[in-house]
Amino acid sequence: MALPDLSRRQLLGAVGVGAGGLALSACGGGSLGGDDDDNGGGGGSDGPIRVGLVIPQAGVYTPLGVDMEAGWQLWLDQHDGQIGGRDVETVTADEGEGPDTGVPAIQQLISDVDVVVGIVNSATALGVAELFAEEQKVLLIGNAGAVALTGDASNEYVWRVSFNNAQNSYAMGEYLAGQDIGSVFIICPDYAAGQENITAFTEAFEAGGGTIAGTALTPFGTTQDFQPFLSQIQGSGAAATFCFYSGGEAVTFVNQYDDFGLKASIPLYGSGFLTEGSVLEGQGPSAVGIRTTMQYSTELDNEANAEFVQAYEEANGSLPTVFAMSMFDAANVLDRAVTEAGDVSGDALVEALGGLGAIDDSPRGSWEFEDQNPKQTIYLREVVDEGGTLINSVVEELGEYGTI
Amino acid sequence: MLEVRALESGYKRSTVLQGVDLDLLDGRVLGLLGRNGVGKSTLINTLMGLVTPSAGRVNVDGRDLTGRRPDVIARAGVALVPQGRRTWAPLTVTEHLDLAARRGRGKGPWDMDRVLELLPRLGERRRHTAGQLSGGEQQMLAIARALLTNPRLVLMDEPSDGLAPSVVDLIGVAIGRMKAEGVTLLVVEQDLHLAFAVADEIAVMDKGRIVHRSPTEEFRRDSSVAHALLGVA
Amino acid sequence: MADWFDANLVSILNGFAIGSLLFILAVGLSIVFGMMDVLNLAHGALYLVGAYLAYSLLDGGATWGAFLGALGLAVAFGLVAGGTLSVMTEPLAKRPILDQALLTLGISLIVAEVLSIIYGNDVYRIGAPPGLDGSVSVAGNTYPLYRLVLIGIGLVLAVVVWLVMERTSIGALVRAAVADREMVSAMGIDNRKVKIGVLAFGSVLATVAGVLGGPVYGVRPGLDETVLLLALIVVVIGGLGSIKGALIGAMVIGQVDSLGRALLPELASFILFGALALVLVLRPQGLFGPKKVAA
Repeated sequence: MALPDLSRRQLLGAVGVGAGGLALSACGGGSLGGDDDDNGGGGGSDGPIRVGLVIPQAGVYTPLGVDMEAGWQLWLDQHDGQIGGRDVETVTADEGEGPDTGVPAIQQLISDVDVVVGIVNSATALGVAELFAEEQKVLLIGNAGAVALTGDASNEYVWRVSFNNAQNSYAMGEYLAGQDIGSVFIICPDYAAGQENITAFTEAFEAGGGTIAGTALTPFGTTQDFQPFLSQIQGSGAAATFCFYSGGEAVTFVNQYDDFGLKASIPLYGSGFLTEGSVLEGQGPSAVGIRTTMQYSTELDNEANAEFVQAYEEANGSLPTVFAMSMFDAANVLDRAVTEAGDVSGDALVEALGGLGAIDDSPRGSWEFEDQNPKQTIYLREVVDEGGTLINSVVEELGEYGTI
Repeated sequence: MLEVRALESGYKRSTVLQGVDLDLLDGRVLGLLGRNGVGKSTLINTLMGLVTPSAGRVNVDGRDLTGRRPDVIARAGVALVPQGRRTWAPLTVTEHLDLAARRGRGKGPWDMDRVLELLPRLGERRRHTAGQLSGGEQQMLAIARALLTNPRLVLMDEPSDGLAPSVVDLIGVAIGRMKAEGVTLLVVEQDLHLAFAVADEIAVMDKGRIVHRSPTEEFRRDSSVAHALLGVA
Repeated sequence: MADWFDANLVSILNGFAIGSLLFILAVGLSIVFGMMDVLNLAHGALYLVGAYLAYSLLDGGATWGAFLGALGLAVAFGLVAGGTLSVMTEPLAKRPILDQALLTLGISLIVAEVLSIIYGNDVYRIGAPPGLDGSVSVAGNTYPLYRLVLIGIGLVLAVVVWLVMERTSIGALVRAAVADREMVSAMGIDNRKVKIGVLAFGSVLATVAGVLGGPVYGVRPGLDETVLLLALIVVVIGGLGSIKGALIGAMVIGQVDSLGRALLPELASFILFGALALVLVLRPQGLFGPKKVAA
């Protein structure tokens, strides 16, 4: 349905913040959860490091926030809570549903910590990128995929350990062109991330000789019924569909794609977020057979991943997701940088990050920074039912993709 | 059968009834007169429970009904023929009568046949909705609706308002028949002719109080009283 | 013309399917609001409960037993909820409408939170019962059979509700209460009982709508607000207390949502609220609303 997304959480949140604020001030309490320090973070070489962990704790993307915190915490637990040989104090901040809540939260956080990791929402990340340059502190983006963050809007303090929106889709575009699949219909939600995905796909696909049967941009976050678009796909004569959806929309789209009988006749391909994590549960059998591209799968056959998956499952009772893995890597990367720099000042970290070379013990396989963004292997995955559980089984490696 | 003592009542900021005392014996018809705004309708509405009194007492047949809900008062035997008729526009005549007849079944002499005999026009317009009826027909419907509940006391608020003289005559006849069957009536009226025709006694209200009461004949003869209290010749 | 029709037939059909669901949801709300000036903002939460009930029972597999069981539970829950809501709003009956609205809104928030705690924040699918889970061919496209069935259910329900309202004495009573409830009270009828009955009826419809809507919309947090807003728009456009209004309003909104979005996707939201604004300006009481508000 085309409606504004009312957030009852925002209403409750407002009341809660009001009440909480009163309670905190009554306790003479501090800021955001960490204990009060004498010097809100410092460049000392053996004092504890204060790391700001920015994740969504309210709204649609809360599950991602939960995964990210779990991935971050897992790495710390495996290393005695230390990064670069120093104790870590994690200060968690809620980025909420968008820049309205995210930007102020980070503005408040940044002076209280030495370095910030996380952020799901690209608009929020874009909104604070300059701030890190001003404060000369490093931001390790754990999710937000906007290309500009390490492109047009980049600065030397903003690094990313996750992905940019073009990588997965470009890889799929090249793959499908190589498959001679026929004409493809592309569909995604009408916002920056969606558009960046299909721009990249189209570029690669057409360059490889493919034809686009049609394009549809669906109203972002408010579409509950995809019928008009599914009818469009049916009428377009496409041989396959490529899409980008994540979270709740991924569940709805995949289910309705099946309900309308398209799954059987027009195979569905997507950027990996279409079938990542808890959405598989919501999709059920409708997801089986869908092929996606992503820099990670729990089924990757390398030692680091085998250990990571097992440890994560033991600690959290569920399989990890790419979001958890990214934050696990964020801790790893920060550890290497701090060890190298001997210091947590922004400039020292920036220099260390630049000279890190290959991160060869990552669960996603070996990767390295290119233009402050991961240059990494993209995998072709297919959803299979493994004894009652749905997983993204790895079909093949599609090659390394860095800055597109 | 109706006893009202020191009744005060009003709306939000204004107290309209300033202490009304009223007695009405079984089977009598009281005509209530007064200029506009003195509180006649407020009294009717308060007696019916549509307005909650702020002070005073209302007894019907010895039962204290002060401040009770309208449906409680109705079940105690009071019926209302309100100002403006207030029939239910989307409902048919039959639906009105059925609804009322259910309440009054077995409680007294008024049943569908008898009421339709009194007001035959309604029988002709059975299938019409109240919204399709003329003003006079709506008034008859409102009366029939009240009557079918077999009330002990009927409160009528300006039944002749806006109606042609021939219809007003009919209403007079209807009231006469009701009275003959032993119904007690309190009739608020602006139409003096109708009031004099049906009422045993006349009461006059002024500034939220009953300021005069006398048998109808007496009131008619002494036109100076009418002149002073009502401003009419 | 025929070509255009063919190409958009599926969207038009879908509009009727969505409209049917909306009708079931909105008709109870309309009658309650029209009759008793009770603005029941918990209506969406009831839909959500129905949807989660369906999810709980059908998660293990969509069988007819589970589906009918979910419907049965929905009816039971709706009856209890309607009665409870009626009792809870009774003390506020003489206060401004806003007070009751806030109370029911508060209940809605609490119910939604509790459901969120029990079921988490994920989006779940709800399967259609066997035999209804396939798709059929419509003008060269495939369309889910279940949604076609929904159109049928909506029509049957509309007929049933219409019959009850127009041909039974209870229906006459409710219509009288919508027109002038003070006079209903003056007839010796306790309006509170009528209110309980109507609220129970409306609540049952809302919860049942949640079950019926499961195979179309699944279930997720926030769905209650979405459907409540749509139901309110239907009620405003259709007119308070009118079944015909609820049906036509629901179909209009269903078409605006489906056909409108197929033809003009970028403008979809605007069309919806544009339709609302148009009705409010030209005919504020709604298409079939009361000529004047009951005293």
